[in-house]
Amino acid sequence: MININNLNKNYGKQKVLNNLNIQFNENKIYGIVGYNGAGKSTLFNCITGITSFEGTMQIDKDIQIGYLPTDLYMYPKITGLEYIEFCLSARKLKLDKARLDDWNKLIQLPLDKYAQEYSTGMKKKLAILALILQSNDIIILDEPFNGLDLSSNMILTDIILAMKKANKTVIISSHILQPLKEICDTIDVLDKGEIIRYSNDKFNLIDNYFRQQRNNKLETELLNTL
Amino acid sequence: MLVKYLKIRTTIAKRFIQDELSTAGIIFLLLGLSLFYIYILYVLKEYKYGTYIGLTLFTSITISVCSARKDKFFLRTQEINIFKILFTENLLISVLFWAIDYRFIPAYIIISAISSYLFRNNNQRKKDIHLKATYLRKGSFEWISSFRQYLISVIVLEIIFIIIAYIYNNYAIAQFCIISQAVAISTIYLNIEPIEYIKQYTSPRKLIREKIIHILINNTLLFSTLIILHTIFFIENTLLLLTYLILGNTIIICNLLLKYIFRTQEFYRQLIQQLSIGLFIICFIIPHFIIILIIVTIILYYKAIVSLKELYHD
Repeated sequence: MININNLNKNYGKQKVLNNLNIQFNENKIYGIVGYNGAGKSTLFNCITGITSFEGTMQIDKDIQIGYLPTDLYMYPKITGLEYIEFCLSARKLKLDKARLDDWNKLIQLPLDKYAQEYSTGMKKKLAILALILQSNDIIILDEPFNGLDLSSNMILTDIILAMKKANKTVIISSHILQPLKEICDTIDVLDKGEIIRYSNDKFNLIDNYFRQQRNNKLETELLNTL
Repeated sequence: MLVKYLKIRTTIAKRFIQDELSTAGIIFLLLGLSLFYIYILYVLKEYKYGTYIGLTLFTSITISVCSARKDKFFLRTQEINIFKILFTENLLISVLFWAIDYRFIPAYIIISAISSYLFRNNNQRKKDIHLKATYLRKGSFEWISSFRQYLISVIVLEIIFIIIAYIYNNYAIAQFCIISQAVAISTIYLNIEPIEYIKQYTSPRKLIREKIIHILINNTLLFSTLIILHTIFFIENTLLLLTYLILGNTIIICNLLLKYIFRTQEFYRQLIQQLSIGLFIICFIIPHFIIILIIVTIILYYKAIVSLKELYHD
């Protein structure tokens, strides 16, 4: 579906992505983890075409990509339903009321209320609902678990699993490893602009990787202090 | 898509008016705006360089519309053509100015297209909220991304207009970019900062003082290109230019203070900030009004301190 080779991205002198090679296939859930500033959002911006980059990116024809950024924007004085209709019209689609009701049984949003008055979790769920209804083949979720309470987290996990059942590919970035371990087929660790992929039988190695990184960092800092 | 987008914008405006204003308020607002427009139109038609001022006013509004938008990133994630949207909106605004001089329609279209293209990708910077602004550094422009692009476009516009002014030996065109610059810079300071950012400063006075110093330094620095060019081409008008510099700085500070006074009332804040820009334009035509503007700014300073103190106590 998506094949990325030798992807490079610099912000001024700072190298964010360094010769990155990664593939995303259909009907799978991919997790991407990494420290702050590791380049997760930059990678997503490159895939969605928001940011320019160096390297090659092959995306299958007729593939629709939906993107949920970290910072959501909701127009003021616009209801949840109007927001969805607007997002659908961006893809030249009309609202399928039955499909919306089906999904909203799971998500349970008050769609007649102004979207800007929603809580953080509700806003995220609304944006995800719009992405699902847009019939995107690949859905990219940047930090979807941030700012969500326990029940919203569980609902979101169910939604992502339901997306997989509906033959969608989902790419998720998160600082929280646990939900990713539960739902992802593979997890990629993005560190210093490079990527290491772990399949689901090796997820326990990710903890060791970060533990080792932290210890190395602590040792270096201690040595510098001494 | 464009039609759907304009429909959404109309719905938002309609609901803002319905929810935030009473019937009397709507009548008052429409009456006030109509009178203001008629006044500007009358003055500009009578004024010797009215057409140029009209063009200037339009450019300023166009740049503001293009650069101060909050929804650009959202629109990009939805794969919506932002250029088309900005261009259409600017052309719709330009309808108001066609009455001043219809011969300038091509100029309006060109200005709309250039501004929409240059500012189509600028986003409000959110990542730098933890940084305190520092003088003479990019940090002081923390609310606008692609700073270099922004700076270069402002300077290039200034140079183009000064050259045109020199060719036609018309100083009024030179005023063109002065107002544009001040209004464009004021858009940087219009955006509301998160409370965590505000509370990094130990007191409201310190916050406002530092912001004012940034405005003075940044605006004067950007203005220096103009001052140098003016000194070469129109040396007799340098003193007048310095007056305009003071006027430009005052209006930016005025907008900054209004932002803190009406922090939570978005509708009133936008309305009053737009009216203050109107007062700014009047000051260009009738410079005596600058005294009123300075008095208003001093009053606003104390009001802003009071509003911010409440925020610090919460």
